[in-house]
Amino acid sequence: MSAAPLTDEEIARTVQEGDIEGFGELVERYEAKLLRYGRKFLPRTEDIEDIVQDAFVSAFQNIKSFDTSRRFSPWIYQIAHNAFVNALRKHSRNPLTMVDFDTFLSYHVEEAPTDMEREHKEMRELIEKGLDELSPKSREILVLFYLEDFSYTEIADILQVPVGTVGVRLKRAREQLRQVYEKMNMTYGE
Amino acid sequence: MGNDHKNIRDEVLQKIRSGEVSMHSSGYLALRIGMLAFVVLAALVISVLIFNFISFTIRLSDDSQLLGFGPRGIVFFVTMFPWALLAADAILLVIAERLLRRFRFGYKNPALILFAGLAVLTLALGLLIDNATPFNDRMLERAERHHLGPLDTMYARPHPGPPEGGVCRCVVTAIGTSSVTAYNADASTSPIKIQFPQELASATSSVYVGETIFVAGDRDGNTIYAFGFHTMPKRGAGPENVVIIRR
Repeated sequence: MSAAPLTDEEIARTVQEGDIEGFGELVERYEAKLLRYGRKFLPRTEDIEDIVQDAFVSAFQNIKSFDTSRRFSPWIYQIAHNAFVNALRKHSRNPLTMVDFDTFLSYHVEEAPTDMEREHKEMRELIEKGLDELSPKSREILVLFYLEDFSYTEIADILQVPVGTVGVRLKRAREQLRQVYEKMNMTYGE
Repeated sequence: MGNDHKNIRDEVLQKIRSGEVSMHSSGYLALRIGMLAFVVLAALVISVLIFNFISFTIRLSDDSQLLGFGPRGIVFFVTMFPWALLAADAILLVIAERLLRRFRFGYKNPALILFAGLAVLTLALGLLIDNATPFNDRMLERAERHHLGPLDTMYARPHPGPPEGGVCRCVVTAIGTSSVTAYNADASTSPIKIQFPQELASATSSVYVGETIFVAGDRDGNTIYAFGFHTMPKRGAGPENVVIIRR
């Protein structure tokens, strides 16, 4: 009988105690996911592999600040998110685009129920086809919710915004995505 | 993809093994959080002290009496309000709010609510210090003995106002039929004539020589054409006689 594989959190605990190879295992588990997240979030000009590598380095340096009673994935995504945002800031000419006005107020939020699985699948397909027309903020929230399957609360922790803001941003991003595809269909139809 | 995967893992592990990258100790991480908390606390403490000082300057200069002088008094009050200090305070609160957002409880709350909470807290503490503790009186005493360094001037003359302005805390030296002569109690300037409009010439009967009065009006040279004044009580008591002249 083979032992069940260790969870991310269990591995993180061994890394905190000095198990470097364990960190290699965590990199293996999250590398592809973070690269996909980065490729969907950042413009193609960014060197996403370098940024993801830096995110892992930062994760290793700060691994002792990780609370192993919480889930590891939102924690590593939060580090990657910060690295991606820093990369965006480096090249942004308009600093106002980085101000989160939607974090200013409180919004009522209702998480999308799981029985909307069909819509979830459709959105996933649309997102996979391309998000280039959307703003980084919209791209990111769609990727985290539809591709990475994080809950509103986890996304709130990754983006470091109130949960209500996640709901508002997601609603706005879905609408933008629909508009983009409607426009594309009209063009193709003409 | 497979190659990318291998490279990142290997490169990260290589950096760790070579010692180029090392794990921060728990002590270092705690120190970093402690430093952050200290900066937030320092910003909030300075903010409380600034609010306290704003309250003190308004109290000491009696500018709040302007609010009882009708619309023109309110305009004067707004004009003379120490906006620069309030702006500095707002900047400090924004800094504290931005830093607090690095903590979980900070980013979980909407920014405006967090900012408003900090503003209300610092305002309340500032007012409390000014009104319920001898802090400012002691600071003033120390400033008069030049023990506050760069804060000496700030505390010794907290809110002088423009010498050519139409607001004056004056000591009456002579009383005429519709005017009084006085000197500015806060600055050594030449005597000022305070002219009351005809309909309130009798206001002069309520003052006596040597009394301090607070006057607001339009200034022309050494004459203030008053639209509101009140006689100053001894420190700690309320205004004795407030008069508003509506024109």
